[in-house]
Amino acid sequence: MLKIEDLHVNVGDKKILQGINLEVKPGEVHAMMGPNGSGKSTLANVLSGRDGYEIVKGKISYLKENLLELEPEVRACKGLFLAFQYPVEIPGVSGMNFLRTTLNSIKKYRKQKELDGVNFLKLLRKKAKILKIDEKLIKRSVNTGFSGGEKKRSEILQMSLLEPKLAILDETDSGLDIDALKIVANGVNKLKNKNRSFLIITHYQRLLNHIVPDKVHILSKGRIIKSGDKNLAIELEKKGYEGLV
Amino acid sequence: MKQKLIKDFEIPNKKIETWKFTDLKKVFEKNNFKPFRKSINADLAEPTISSQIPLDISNNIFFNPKINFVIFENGYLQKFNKKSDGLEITTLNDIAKEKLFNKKNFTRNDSLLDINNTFLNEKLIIRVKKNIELKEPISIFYYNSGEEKYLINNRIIIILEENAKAEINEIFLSNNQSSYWNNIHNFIYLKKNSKLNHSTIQLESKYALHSSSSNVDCDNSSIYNGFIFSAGGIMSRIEVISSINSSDINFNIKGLYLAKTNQHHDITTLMQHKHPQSKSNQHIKGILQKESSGVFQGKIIVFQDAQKTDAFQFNQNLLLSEKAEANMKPELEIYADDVKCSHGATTGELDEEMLFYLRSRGLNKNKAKKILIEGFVNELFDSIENKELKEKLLLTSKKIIH
Repeated sequence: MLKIEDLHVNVGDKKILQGINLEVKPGEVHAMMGPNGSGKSTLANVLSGRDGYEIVKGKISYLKENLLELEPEVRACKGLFLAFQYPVEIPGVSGMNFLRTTLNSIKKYRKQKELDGVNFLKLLRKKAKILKIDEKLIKRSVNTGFSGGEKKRSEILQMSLLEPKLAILDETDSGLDIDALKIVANGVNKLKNKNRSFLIITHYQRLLNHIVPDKVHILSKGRIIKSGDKNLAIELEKKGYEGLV
Repeated sequence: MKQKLIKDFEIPNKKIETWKFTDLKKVFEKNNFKPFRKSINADLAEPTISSQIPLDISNNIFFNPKINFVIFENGYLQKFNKKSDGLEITTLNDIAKEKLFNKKNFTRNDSLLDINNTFLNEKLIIRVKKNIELKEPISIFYYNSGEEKYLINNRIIIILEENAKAEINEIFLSNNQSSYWNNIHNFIYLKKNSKLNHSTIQLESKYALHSSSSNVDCDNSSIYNGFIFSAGGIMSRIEVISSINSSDINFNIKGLYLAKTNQHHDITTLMQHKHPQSKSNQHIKGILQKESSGVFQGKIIVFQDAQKTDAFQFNQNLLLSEKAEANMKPELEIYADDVKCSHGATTGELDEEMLFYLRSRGLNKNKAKKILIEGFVNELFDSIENKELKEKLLLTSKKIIH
């Protein structure tokens, strides 16, 4: 699914990622943990195709293609999804139209049948219910005036509509209270299947109580310093980053 | 007395403080627009008026033959249709009626109103009677078929009597190739408890010069909701001037200029708060493409007696090209101490974060841009109460942007 080899990334003069190696296989859930400034969000942004990052060295292949050559929208159409750490507010753009336009744009790319208004609404209602999102919220402008928790749930709603092959969750748990965390985790768990992979970027272990990872990696100063199974996250919670780094 | 000629007037130009950004004279001199009247004077060009509603109007999406409408063609009344009870439309050139207004509230430091007076083609009085709420809006079309380079002067006096409610939409149209100067100055009198939803939809020919003003005199508890949509012409200046003479008045202006190619759009407002406890709120947006330029000049004066005034003003410009230019000049003159006033302005390109967000959801760059531009516009249209009008304006702006 995803293979990262010796990835070095700079932002300006600053070396952020310094030799990342990672392989995510279909159906696997990987957790990427690390302290602030370790390069977690940089990794997510590079994978999604955001500007402002210089790839100094290394390769990323996604579904056997060179990911770095693809425009962000093509990555999305090919099934890569990033749940933003800070979802962007877009005033004046109705959430409903936005969701339908993106879904149909991706369906078109995948040569699937586009959804008309009625069928789209049916699908949306079903997905929104799982995430306990009020329809009124979706009718408003995209993310505009949403609370932190509403924004994160709205990201997961988009993810569940777009049915990605590889979903990257960038600190989706930050700013969520325990109830919202459970709702979000439940939404993610419902999407898990043998072909869909997840890369969950998080600071804390608590989300991983609800979404059980196959593999846990610890990122420090731009390198993966330790990998293991779910127990590594538990160990980390006990010892702290300082105990492991 | 010798009749005045257009050359006797100083056409507004950059030397005049309020015209710093908009040089009307430059466009005027290039075109040498000629005033005309229905007159036997051979020096003046003769207007042409068709007997049927011009196709450019009957085919226009803003035209609806079933509602109240007024059509001016080349400055003269072509047809009007009065459906609603309690509505009066008269062409009486009765200057006395204008005494309703305290002209001092609307004095100008330029020649436009004098030009309008001197070369006035036709004047119309629209009156909505006491306690009448018009069920149908009134559409006023200013149509120019312009074979000649005419200067056209019209004036409409709109009176909403006590408790009257109305919607008036003014639409400026042309056959698309004509070159002319529309100089239109309207006076609106809102009596106690009346409410007017008023839009100015400027879709002049791409060669036209447009200067217009709505001078609004407000009584106690009246509501004015103005919407400006400026998209046509080579150069356009649309003004709204209020005189807020009493309390509990709610004065709102939303404005949008959509400038393309080398167009110049100017929206200039003057809010005169003369009495305590009224509100004014202005939100003007501009989208500027290619080598176009946009101007928003908004002046708020809060007189000494006008305590507890709320006056807000906000201007946002979206620059879609490196050569486009946005100028803004907010002015606050506040002589009362217990007031809430603010102004703000932003100018920039499309937001990179928003663009990336949309692209990361599978929309290509062009599509993402379109969605953001439409969003920028939508936000402003939300306040339009007439759903049908809102849809038509949305459609019109989509066509212009894409």
